[in-house]
Amino acid sequence: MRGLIAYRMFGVECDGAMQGLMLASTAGHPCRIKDQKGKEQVYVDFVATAPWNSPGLVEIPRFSLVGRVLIATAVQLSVEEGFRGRIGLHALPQAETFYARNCGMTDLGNDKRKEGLRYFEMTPEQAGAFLR
Amino acid sequence: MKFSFDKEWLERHADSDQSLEIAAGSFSFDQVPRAMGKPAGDPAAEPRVVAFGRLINLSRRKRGWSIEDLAESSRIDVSEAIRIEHDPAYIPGPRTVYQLSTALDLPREQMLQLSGNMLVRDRRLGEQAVKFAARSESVEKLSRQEHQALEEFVRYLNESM
Repeated sequence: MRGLIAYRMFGVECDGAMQGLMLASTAGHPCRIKDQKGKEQVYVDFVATAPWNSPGLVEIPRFSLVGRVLIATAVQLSVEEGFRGRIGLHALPQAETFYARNCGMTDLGNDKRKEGLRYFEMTPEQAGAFLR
Repeated sequence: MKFSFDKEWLERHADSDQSLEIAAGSFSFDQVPRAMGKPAGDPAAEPRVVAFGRLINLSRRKRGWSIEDLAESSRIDVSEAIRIEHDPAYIPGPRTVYQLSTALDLPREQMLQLSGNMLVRDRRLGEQAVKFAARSESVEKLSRQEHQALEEFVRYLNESM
């Protein structure tokens, strides 16, 4: 599958408002970790919470776990597509801890082609551990 | 396609996730499209970028840090830290600017504007940046350390001719 048809948009709605959004692609972003290099995965092009759920903007976020639900959605989409839970994304600096520590993804370092953001990838084993 | 989320799993992670940001994707940055590491192509941006480099230089020295200390604290390459301080044509990426802002305790959004990563919304910031760039250039004589470094380098240049 190529082009725009490979893109999926997901949202978390609660209390009648959108609490977070994710744009994911199922093609065109092959894996980079050595053991799974070149294999297909779900690539998260964009994920963000609503401003009122962002700990960087408000003292007490209205809803937590929005990011976890969206990343779990990406993993489930990956499983559904036959990619066994493999996902990849470029984290903003303030979110690196979430992906490295809380999601258990592998940090592949700065990517100069993506504004110097750090690239993270999840293997099927890490996806299993994340969902447990 | 149906998605399912285990309530117990979510509850177990509620505390550890609560204080963490989750944003990902390069277009989450509110930025001016440009090629990273290249001149901004906007002549008006240059004094700002000079001011950015001077600000990093003075903030580092105020803390008594070497360039290596700055690179380590900001988790950036030493070669990039040198370019930021000395090359007005170099525009660091948003991640680098974020890391520097955090390490030097400087306001993130203003730093992104000064560094050429974001449009300057406040005209006064541009004016103040030019003023700062002009005033912050040292007119003092060389220190002993600078003098020695200069002498050694010039000697090397002469000997390697």
